[in-house]
Amino acid sequence: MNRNCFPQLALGIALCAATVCAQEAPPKRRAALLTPAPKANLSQAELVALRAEKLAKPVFSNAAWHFDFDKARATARAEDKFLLVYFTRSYAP
Amino acid sequence: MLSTDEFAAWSKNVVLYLHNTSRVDDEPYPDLLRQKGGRAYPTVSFLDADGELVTQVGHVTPLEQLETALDRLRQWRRLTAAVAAGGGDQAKDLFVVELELGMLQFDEASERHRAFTFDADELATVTQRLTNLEVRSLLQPGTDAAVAGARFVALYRDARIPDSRDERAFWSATFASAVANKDTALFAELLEDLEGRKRDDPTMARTLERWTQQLEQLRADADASPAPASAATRGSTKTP
Repeated sequence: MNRNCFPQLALGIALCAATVCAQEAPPKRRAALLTPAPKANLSQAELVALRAEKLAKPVFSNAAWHFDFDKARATARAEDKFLLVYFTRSYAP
Repeated sequence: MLSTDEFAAWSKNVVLYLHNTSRVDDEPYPDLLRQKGGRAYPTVSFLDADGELVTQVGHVTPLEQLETALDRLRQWRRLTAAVAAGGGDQAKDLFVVELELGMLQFDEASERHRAFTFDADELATVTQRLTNLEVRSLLQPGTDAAVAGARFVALYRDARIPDSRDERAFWSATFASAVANKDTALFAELLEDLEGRKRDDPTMARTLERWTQQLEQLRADADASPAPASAATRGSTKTP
């Protein structure tokens, strides 16, 4: 390797690390990055059960959450409001 | 926050939609998070009534941040209508609101801001937002590392430090640029500056300690080897 490549290579690696760092959530509560995907091999029945468990959480009955995107959009149009979307997942913790 | 009475009361101002990625086969919009620019769970975003993304507010969001974002969005909607109706005098306000809502990419924001004259306070705000956007753009994968490193140093020299979630990445990349160029003086300057800024931040203590050790190593390396090539010869492929 040409020795003159080293500074750029080192900087590239550092920038990659900085980019990953930049994509992380604040340290108090890290968000789960989309990739890599969890490798759990859950059956459809298990996934259905996890979904039901998630949607039944008390936090989602505290306010008028929609679980259907089409209906939520229709309501937003009818009421001339913005949608506030909370993206979560039930297939993994 | 979502379970509080305060959130329940405020939520009447919007339509709440919970998107749960379940991996169940009957899921109608399995890739919605990615389609709306999300990269992690959980993500909180505002969409318009057609389902188009207007702004992403973050991962875990205090209610005050949602209130501020909604106020801005309502302002943005009023200004957009006014400018579309010929209210050109409100174009600057629209630009600032779009900047604050994170609706603009760096290139577009940098181009559009030249059309306006800002007072001192506005200019400070706009410059800070542009700095945040530029740093974000430089941190994207695929950016040439040497170009990005040089730009980070230039931003630092102009006292343009991001105040966004990219701040730590900015410092890391700027230190990395100093290391890559064997610029011990710059590394020392950065460290002294950062120590002054973050002295009372316990989350930075280990990082500062690590960079202090790295500075000592850089100085030891510099003492043990001949003086680095001058700027004019740096990058030459000739062997001695």
